[in-house]
Amino acid sequence: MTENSHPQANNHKPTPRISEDWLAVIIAFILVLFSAIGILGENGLKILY
Amino acid sequence: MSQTEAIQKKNSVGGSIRLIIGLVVVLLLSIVAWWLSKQVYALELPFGIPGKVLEFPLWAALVGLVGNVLLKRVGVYETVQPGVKTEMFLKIGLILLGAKINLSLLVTAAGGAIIQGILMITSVFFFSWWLGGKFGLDDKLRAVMSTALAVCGVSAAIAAAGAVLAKKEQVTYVTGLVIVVALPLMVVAPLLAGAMNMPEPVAGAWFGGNIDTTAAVVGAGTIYGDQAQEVASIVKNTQNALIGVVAFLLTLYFVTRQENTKGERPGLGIIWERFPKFVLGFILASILFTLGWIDGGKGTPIYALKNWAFTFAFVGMGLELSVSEFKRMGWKPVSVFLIVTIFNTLLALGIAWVIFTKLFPISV
Repeated sequence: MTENSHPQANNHKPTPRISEDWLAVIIAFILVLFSAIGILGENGLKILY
Repeated sequence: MSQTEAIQKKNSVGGSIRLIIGLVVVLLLSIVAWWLSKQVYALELPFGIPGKVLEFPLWAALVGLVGNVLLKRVGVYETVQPGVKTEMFLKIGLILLGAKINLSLLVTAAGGAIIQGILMITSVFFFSWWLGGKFGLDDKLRAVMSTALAVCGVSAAIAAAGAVLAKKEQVTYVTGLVIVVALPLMVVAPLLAGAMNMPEPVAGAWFGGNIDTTAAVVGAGTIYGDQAQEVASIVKNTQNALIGVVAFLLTLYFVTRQENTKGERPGLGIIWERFPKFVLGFILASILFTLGWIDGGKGTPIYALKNWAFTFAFVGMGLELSVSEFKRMGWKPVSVFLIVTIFNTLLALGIAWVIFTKLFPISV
């Protein structure tokens, strides 16, 4: 059977995937935002290192 | 639901569970590394060495290596692997690091880093390419190896492999070599810099130009000092940003010159496609810090999160080390890699010294 011979093979739309780079940017700025609004830090969840 | 969809859904659920298990394992190993570094920090080691020189990157990489051996022995390494997102953790850490770097430092260091990057990438790439040819290495292997050595280690090897259509085992082999050589360099380079009484900006530029993989560059900078870490990261990020240009030129060369490679001429779009977009996040964080809107300095949650992200990355580096391809490929590629690493180290030392003491001096 070829790749496209399955009746439903052509109906699948590829799931949009975000690149690892942009995902890293999003996660990092969510963390920055949480720190800026106090969710993380002295009055929120304390993160130590 | 069709049978195919059911299988896909099952695989996807299985993948998600393995991802979560992997992330939990990385977190636990990172906590062990953090605890170890805290224990040793206050100690005085043999030969009067203060414990604080053994910074967290070293412990994290060692804990990762031990974890690597144990997980493979127990036979659960494959289960954990999807959660070992070394590059992702590293990129998050680098963006957070941007939140404590003033834009003026970024611009000054990046100015020097661009010159250093162009000189280093060109010299190291062509020396490695030439030497690989002398040793009779396969063209694709030497393209991947030369890019890894000249630009930025693991991610450059992957980008180059995509550009020249290299075999998977060639990429595995080169990335393994990069990590095996980078781990000791991460510790030895700061010791050498200390012995030479090197100012932190010069040492940072040296680490950024000489050590292949970004994680180990950040690790060496962290061990040497805060300013070394900042300059090392800026220099390495600048070099990383040039990977798109290298990938474009490599694709062009392999499409036009190599008879066996079939493909279309690459467009300039590949430069943007391969550009590491996280660098934009790093610059944005630095701008926000310079404007006084965010603060990632010592004692802040961003600073702690940055260190955790780096710890995850160093643990991942230890976990990802694979030496399975080494024996099969023989001694020739290893010899080329080691000779070029020595060349790279000496050249980067001279260039970093000239650029960051004469052309773009950074105050300590």
